[in-house]
Amino acid sequence: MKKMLLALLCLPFCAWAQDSGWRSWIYDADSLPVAGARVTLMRTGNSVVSNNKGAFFLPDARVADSVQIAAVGFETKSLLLVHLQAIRIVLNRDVAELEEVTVETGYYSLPKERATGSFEQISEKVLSEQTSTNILERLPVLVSGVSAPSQRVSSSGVLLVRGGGIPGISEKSAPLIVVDNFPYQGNIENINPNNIESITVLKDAAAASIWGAKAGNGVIVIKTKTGRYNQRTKLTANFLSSITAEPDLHRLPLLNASEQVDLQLFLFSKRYRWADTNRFNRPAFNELYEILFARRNGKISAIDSASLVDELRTRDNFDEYERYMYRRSLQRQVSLSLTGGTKTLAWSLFSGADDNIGSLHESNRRYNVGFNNVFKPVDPLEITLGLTLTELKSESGRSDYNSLPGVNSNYRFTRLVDDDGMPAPYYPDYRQTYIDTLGGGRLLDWRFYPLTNWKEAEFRTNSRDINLNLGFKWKIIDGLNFSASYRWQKQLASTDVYSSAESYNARNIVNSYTVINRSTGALQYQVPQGGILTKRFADLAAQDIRLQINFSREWGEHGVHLLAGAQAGAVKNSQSSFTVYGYDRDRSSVSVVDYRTQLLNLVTGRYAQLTGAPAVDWTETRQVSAFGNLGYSWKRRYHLSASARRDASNIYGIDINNRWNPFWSAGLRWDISQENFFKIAWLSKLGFRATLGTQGNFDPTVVAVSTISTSSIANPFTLTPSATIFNLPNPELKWSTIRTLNLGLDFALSSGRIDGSLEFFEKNVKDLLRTVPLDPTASLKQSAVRNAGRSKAWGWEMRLRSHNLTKALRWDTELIFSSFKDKLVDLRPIPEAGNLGSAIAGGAFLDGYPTYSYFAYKWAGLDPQTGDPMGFLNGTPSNNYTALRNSAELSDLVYIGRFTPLIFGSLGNSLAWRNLSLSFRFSYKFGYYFKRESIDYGALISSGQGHSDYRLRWQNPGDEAYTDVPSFRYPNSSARDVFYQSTELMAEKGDHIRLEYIRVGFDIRPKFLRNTLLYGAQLFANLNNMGIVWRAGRKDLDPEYLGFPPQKNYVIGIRFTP
Amino acid sequence: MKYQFVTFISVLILMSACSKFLDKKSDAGLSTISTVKDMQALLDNETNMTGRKPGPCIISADDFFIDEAWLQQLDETYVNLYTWAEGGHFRPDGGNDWAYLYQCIFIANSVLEASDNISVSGQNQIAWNDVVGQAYFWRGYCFQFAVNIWSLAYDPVTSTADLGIPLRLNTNYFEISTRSTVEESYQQIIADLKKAASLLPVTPLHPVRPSRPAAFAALSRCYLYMGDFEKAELYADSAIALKSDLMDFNNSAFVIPTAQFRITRFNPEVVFDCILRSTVAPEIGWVDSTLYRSYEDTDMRKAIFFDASTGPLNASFRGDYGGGVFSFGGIKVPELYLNRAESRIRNGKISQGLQDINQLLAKRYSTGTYTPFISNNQDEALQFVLSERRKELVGGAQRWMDIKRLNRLGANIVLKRRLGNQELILPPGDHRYALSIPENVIALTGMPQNPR
Repeated sequence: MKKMLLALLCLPFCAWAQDSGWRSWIYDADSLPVAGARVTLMRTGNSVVSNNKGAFFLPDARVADSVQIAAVGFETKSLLLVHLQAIRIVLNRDVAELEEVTVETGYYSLPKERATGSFEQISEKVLSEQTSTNILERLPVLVSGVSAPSQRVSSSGVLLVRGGGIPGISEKSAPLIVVDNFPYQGNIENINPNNIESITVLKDAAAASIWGAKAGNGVIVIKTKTGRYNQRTKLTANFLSSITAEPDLHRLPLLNASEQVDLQLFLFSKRYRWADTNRFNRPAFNELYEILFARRNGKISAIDSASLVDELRTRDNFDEYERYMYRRSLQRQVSLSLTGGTKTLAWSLFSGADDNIGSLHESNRRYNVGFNNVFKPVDPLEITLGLTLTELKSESGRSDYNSLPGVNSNYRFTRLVDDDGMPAPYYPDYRQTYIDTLGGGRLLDWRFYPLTNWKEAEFRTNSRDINLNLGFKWKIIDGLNFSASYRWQKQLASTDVYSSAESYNARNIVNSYTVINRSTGALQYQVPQGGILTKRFADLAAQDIRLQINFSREWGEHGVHLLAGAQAGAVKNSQSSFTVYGYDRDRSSVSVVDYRTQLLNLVTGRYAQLTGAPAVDWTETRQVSAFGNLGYSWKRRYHLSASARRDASNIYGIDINNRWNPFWSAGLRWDISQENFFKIAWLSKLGFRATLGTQGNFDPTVVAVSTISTSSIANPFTLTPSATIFNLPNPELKWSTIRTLNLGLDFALSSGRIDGSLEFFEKNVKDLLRTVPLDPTASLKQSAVRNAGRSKAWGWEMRLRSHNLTKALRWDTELIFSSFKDKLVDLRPIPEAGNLGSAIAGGAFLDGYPTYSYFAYKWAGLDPQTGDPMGFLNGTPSNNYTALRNSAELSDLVYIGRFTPLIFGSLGNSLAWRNLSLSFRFSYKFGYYFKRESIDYGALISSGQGHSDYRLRWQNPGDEAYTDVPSFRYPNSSARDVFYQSTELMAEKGDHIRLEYIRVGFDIRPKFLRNTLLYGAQLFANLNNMGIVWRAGRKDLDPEYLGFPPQKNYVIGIRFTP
Repeated sequence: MKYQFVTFISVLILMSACSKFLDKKSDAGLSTISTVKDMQALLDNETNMTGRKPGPCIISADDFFIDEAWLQQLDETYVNLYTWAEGGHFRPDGGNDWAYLYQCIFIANSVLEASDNISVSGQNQIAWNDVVGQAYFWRGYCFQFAVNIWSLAYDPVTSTADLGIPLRLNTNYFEISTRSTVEESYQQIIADLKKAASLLPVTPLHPVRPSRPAAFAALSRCYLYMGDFEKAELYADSAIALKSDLMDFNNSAFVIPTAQFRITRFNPEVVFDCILRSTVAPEIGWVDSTLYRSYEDTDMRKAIFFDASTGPLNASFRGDYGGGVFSFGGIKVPELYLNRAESRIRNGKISQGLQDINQLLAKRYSTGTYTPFISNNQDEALQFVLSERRKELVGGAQRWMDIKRLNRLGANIVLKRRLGNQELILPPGDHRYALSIPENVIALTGMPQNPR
């Protein structure tokens, strides 16, 4: 109606009209011409396309004709021609359609309408709503089925696509990362998120099987920015800086100095560690113990001792750490990218710099520069050339609150600054009274200064990466082309661990190996005085070459898309390292030392060799693959796909028969809404997809012969090579195979308000690999991998977008939903050490339960007489912890639930009004449990670090009525600690909703910029890590993080967009 | 079409080149056991071979006692060993004495299996013999450790029924381990050591490598424990014929009374060097005061082996042959003299036996202060040799086995400890003289535990 009105408004201008044919111009809301818009004359069905000035001429158009104007990324518009005058047609951007419509697999890109598999694509716009420097950190909240495991479970930082790979082999669960068509071998931190055009996540077999053996855990395909032919030059620039609050140490649930003093007084009265006064290695005591020993030996009076002890109670080194060590962290990012294109050249240039200074003043810097060009020197040939240079630098900062060396590191009365404002000494290794007298003061100062030692000890890394892409594409005939591509990546990383001559480390080593002549008192240094520098080099060289034939053609109702090819790749990693002593950094001079001689340790009287003899090592993995992919479409509504791949690698010791492994997939897609019988008026799009295929089953532990590994360090006595058995033959082992079924439904409502997709997947793993304990009598290894049975995983994934308001105020919502459930089936019984005990400690592996299930001892309360924690042993309460560990039955345990969420996803909202925009996203995880920490008396006694649950402990009979925390007992039983930690009391519900980020943007589009490179700018502010807004468990615990959860992060920036 | 053909051919060429491309080794350090050098490298692994041999019996024996307050801080396994508890002597995970010992046996078996496939020619015959001999030695020596710890003393009457140790002779780790009899265990030890003796060189590259005198010495030890004194004498004699160095404690460069640890490692008396783990007692325990007092003041060992600066009740052990890397688990020449002396006396050659012991002690007393012990009474001579045996081998793993075997011969050594108000007693022949096998091994294999 509105559109008709618009057309009517034009009526007065139709002074002179042509008979037929209509010429006009199409613009977007920002008055930029829209190229490639299709203008269809409804009466004839003929259509034309607008040129890059937005102009078109529709022949044969007459007054009263209906015209439809459609363009990618815009709302389709219908017009009734009331005259044939040229008008200015303005198309509104369609938010729903902004998403790129092609998905990338690394081998081919294909329109989303033809995809049978589970592809999920994230555009630059959505990615740029977050500001973290690591691209992978941005994904979990954006893609269904992708999750980052809780840091309580794993701190590796890998993403899990649909729960990861082969259950039981956790280290092999990371997805394959592909950057610009080739697996990325370098550090993922090299990649600057600002240089990314799009990311496609390949989740099912049809999507990923083209990647073969490495694709079992899903594939993340990253495409960096490239130019396009016939495109004006565009500049994108991004400047931001952010600030993160320093952590609040006082919020850690730890005992304070006074409580630690009380405990130490008690332990001293029990003569705890008195034996250490007799040990050869003269272990250090904490400050309190030294006071107590001095008092005991009559060196100080009782009154002095008491006042010294009371003074210790008043201290808190967390205040000092907060004052001298921690700061707010700062991040800065600058990036510039230029893209453009002529008829024969599409080019892009990129540069970026990131500078992060962490809460301990540590720094991380990244510099990127590169280009990505495509050109056509002669008609059938297209050449791609891309080069990226990256430099990463990191430097260590100050000392963390728990980074003191030695067993006395956790006492909060250990000061950084003494009464005179000078750095206070600390004794990490040897007893104060011993080293103060040893050597009669001629040795180097043997004290550690927590306040300043960080200045003398540096840890620096520097890595440089070159990534070169070269490609040739030869068009043989229309629709048939041959391509050859090559990738070369080289990453040189060096690590410097430097201890200056003044550092504790260097002084300690020099002193330890000093020989004191007992008659003359003269000192002889076996290790030269000066600094110590350890250098490590890691050199990575990766090469890949790929030959591929692509065929793509449509005949009438048929479309055939074929590709086949072969690929070879090699990754060589070389490492070398050495340590130099007596190092003077200013003069760059070193002293020659002997790494082989056994040196006498002054304190312990034992002999040892200097560490850090030069070592060199390398590994090289090679892989060869052949692959093919077929797509067939009929009537543009039935699509079939099939792919196959074989891989072979040079993994050492692999049986030749196991070298080649086939993978395949098949899929279909049916666009129901294209059918004539489809008559559901309110649904504009309805498509169904189904795929089936096998994915990676690769495990390098499957070897046919036993292999040995020669150490780079020789036997210290015979000085001959030393080797150990690396792999044992495992002839019984079969490959584990993952078969994935994926069903999908894509839909859109006619109103355009809601669209989305729904998927169901099922992953069946046959011949599950499981690490089982071996009889220690029979083997060198404690465990071996065996086929254990099957597992079944399934889940639902949904992405739903709705455009709630589309007028002046726009409001869009995106819901991402994932569920993941798994179960072990037909488990082969395998004898186990410690029976259920080990199951409780880690994650249980039991038939009918999820892969990582949480079992705990049933809680039988505290013993009213002793405050001992009790469990059930064959149904009766017991505090026999060894028996509980070894003979508890399944009925004595409780199945708590899963360690990983059953349901997770995110909810994003974006609002826009005029120049203002606001977006914010919540993430949620439901249906899982985590294990909280509580008091570990063993650690409390040995290190002084204790959980504040200690305050709630059982102390007197009757306390069991209101506390569940066991009594403190000396001597302690570690089995009792372990038992308590493994009871159901520790289980906490993990369900929570977290506000991930809020982004506010303000668009500036000044007219004077309109014809420049810079078209407009957005000022933005981000609030990240805003914390948990709802949780089912205890308020003081973050289900995902141990210690400090990520601190709130405030960002402001400006982004220039074309 | 032509292009397609060219591409097809090039893909084919690429594929045929593949197998060559993939033959490249994936790791610089990896190989199969295919040369004598590889076998030797496995046996030269310090951690697996010469390191971490089992020493749990030192804390169970009677050389040391441990302050009660200090005992409370030790790992429960040590407390169980010290108090002769029924079980819980080893951590129930993989890192225990049993596992480390059998890992060493596994490596020896790997070398022996590989040796069948490594061709021997004139050039490598000597090296091949050496390394195969080492592997047999290690297997026999490790079985000997195991049988001393986990079986009762050899009793010729019951040895074919007594529970021995699992005799792993191959690397098939899926084969479930079973226990042999004590007789079978000893026969296997003898067979392995005899093979070793026939292959090993007289002088090793370094004392951390087995040698022919080491194999003879281990055989002598084995027969002594079996009560076969004829053979014990024979093999001690053969060993001494090849290696007989004794240090004079008055003037040896390897004995430094002022050092923290007084005996230098790899000194001339060392026939074979390996290190025990989980001993604890020599480091933090006090030497039994009666034992300490039994050394005469002119006996150099009293000042060299011990630090009694805080009084005779608190004498610390400083005489370890591992040079402070506790504890020495190898073989030293004095033991050979002691074995031969005891065997000779038991075999009726009293004066010859006493000559051995006098020869040793002359090097242990201050120069000129030692009066040779002379007796015609077999029993008196034997008692003298046994008391000197205890004094010379103090702080080592031999004591536990000596108590076991001497009790079987009627010595009636009763071990006692006082813990609080409680007195613990380990009577002769008690079933606890065979320590409990780690519980995880029992759970995984179903083999019978020692009677508890």
